[in-house]
Amino acid sequence: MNNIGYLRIFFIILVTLFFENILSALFLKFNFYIPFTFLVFSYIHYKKTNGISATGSFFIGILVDLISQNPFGLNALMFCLMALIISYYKNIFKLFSYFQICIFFSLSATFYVGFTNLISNIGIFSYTNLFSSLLASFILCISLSFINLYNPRIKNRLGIRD
Amino acid sequence: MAINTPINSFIFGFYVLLSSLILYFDIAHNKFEKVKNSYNAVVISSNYIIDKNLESISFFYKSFQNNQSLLRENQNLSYQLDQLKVENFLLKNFDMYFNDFYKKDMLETFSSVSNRVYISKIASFDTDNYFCCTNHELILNNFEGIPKDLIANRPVISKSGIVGQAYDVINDSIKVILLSDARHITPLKSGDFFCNAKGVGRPNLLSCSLNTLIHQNKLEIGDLFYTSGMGGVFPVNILIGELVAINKVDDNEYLLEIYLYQSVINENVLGILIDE
Repeated sequence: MNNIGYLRIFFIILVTLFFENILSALFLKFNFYIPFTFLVFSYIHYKKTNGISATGSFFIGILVDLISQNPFGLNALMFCLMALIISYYKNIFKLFSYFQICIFFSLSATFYVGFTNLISNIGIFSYTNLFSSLLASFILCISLSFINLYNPRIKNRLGIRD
Repeated sequence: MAINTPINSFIFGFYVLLSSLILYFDIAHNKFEKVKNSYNAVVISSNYIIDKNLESISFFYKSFQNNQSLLRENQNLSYQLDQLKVENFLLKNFDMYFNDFYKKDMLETFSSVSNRVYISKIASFDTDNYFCCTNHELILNNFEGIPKDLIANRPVISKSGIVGQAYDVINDSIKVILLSDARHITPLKSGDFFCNAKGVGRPNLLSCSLNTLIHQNKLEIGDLFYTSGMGGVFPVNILIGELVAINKVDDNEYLLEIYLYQSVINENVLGILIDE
């Protein structure tokens, strides 16, 4: 994950997008939404030694927009912003606990959901959805952290190194 | 205290601004509609091509799978068709093949014909022996276990007429001797001439001896021969064949060669007349 190439990143993003499309229909029944693609992009950027470049973030975002039928530039903007924030606070994150990082990621995911809804799905925007998305994203992040902590074999098998 | 990571904020800022502009132009002016439509067209075309290919592959796979079942079905249908041909033949020539007692019964319903004929598939037929030698036999299946006393010595017919006689039942098989077998004798008649025609041992040939001291030789090549019903096995007046040669053996003795119209070479199923 530290030195992952752009082709692999794009492939992972594509696979995640595919699963997100499948799962989103299920999640929407329970009034929440987890932006897996955004979270995976953020996680890769967070774990990658030099991060994903601004150009890379932009083009990955544009491609995600194209594939997911979102307005052009929406994901590009969100990915660039997220890449900027993570890159900017990369050293500070090292002082944070897993819990705090989980809160950061879940808040980012919630912001993404809110912003996306405002831009493209204003009709279904609701604070209840946002709150439930925050909760779901936080539970997902904290679960993944627990797996990371308590089951290092899974982490090694996936080739993830700290 | 950790310091912030030094990054090139200008590039990030540029891309954020660019993304915002793209987003604005897309939402407000729909500037990227063509790109989206082109992408959708490519996706739809790809899906169509993939679906078509998958359909073809699936079709080939299914065809391959169904091949065996179709073959089996084809064989069954062919067998049923042959059965129907034999039954049809019997229905057409009903009067000749059954005596009055059974005729009355069977004319009431056609299905009863099949109750009086045991139709069976040829299990084994040694064609080499048939063309070269004097023993002309074949074996029919007897999976229904028809008892020997019901079919032994009964006439065997094809869809064109009498071809032989059942003579033995062994387990699941019925042995049939053909008319052309050298050991078989068929009582025949042609006009007022009666004879016991022996199989010659060659395909489709019978021979009759004619003694001019007993019969006047009025026969000519091409005369038709029918069953005489003398032996009590074959029904009377069934067309068997025609006279093809008259060979002189002695001053008063001639050997008549009769060509059989019915052949078993192209048959798959035969029927045994069960006329109790």
